[in-house]
Amino acid sequence: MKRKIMKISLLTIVLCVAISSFAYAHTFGGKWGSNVGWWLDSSNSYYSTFQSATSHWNNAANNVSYYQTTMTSATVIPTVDFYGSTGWDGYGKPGPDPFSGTYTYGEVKLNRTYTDNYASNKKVAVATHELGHILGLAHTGTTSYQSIMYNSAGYAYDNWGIYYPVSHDTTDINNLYP
Amino acid sequence: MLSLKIQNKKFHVVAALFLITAITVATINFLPSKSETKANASWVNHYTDTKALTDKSDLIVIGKVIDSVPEKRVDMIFTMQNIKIDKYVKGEKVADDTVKVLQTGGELNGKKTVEFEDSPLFKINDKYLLFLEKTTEGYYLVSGGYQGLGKIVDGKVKVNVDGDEIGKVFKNKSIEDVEDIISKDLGKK
Repeated sequence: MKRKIMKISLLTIVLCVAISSFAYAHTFGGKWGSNVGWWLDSSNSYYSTFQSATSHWNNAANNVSYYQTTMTSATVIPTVDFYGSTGWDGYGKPGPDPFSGTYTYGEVKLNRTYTDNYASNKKVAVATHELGHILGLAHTGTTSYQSIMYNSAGYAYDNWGIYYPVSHDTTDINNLYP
Repeated sequence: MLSLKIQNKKFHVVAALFLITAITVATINFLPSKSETKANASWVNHYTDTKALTDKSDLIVIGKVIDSVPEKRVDMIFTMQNIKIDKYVKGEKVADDTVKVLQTGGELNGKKTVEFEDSPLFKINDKYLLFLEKTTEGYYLVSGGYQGLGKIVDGKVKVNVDGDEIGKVFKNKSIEDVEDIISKDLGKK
């Protein structure tokens, strides 16, 4: 009987640890089955912004990466436009279903109504944040620790000075793509 | 011997129930709901305490959604929510006690575009506590994207994100308690 109690206790502890780890990792639930091809016209004023943002994720992630490809082959083509006063400076959505399965495309938009007034590294912060969503990372929803995936990339840049993945993000992305 | 077997069986049943309960609770709490919105935005304005949120808001109201009007901008659909104000917590009375609040997402001509997980589209007849900032275009936005937004359910404020400085304070507070916090932030108490 004692051995059974021990086994059950051990199992419960393992289960609790697994649940805690799952809660701490901020991921949507889906992921890419291969590296992610992106394209943006090189004459676009945000071209270098996205080059920097993709490089940041390539430096952080061990087993997934962004690579530049042609417009017809790309599965991620950022849209950069003026959407007026919306409250958001960017968003990212992997598809078809962010919450499960294998992603086949990513939808990224930056709202120039706001970002045109940002410093270049703050623009990179927003692009890096959105490309983190495309890889499958969700918002952290807390300021208890630093993350480029906090709900406001502008906050992360203005208050923590970050425009690239930091420790929490690197852990999350490498747990998602082990 | 028989009593020992029964005890063992009981123990296994209890252990199995415990594990099933733990797994169910974990699943309910931590798996994202598919019925929720599908995209995550990066919000422009962000506040680190309720006083900053209160100070930066032009209007703080309690109101009900009476109408939702979709509109297209570039390649996206937005929804202008018309809110009938029941109570002003901060700010001057507006015409017809009705305010227009823009949200991202909606449906137009059978086409839907994204809405945001931490700021899902309001539903007609639902009641909200809203911290609002006026735009240069004349309509309002929720202050801090998701921070100045709480659905009122059974007299309590339900926030969408409870891990930041605002959500931690407002989470599950009664509307009276939240009004009290705002009054203190406004220096009225």
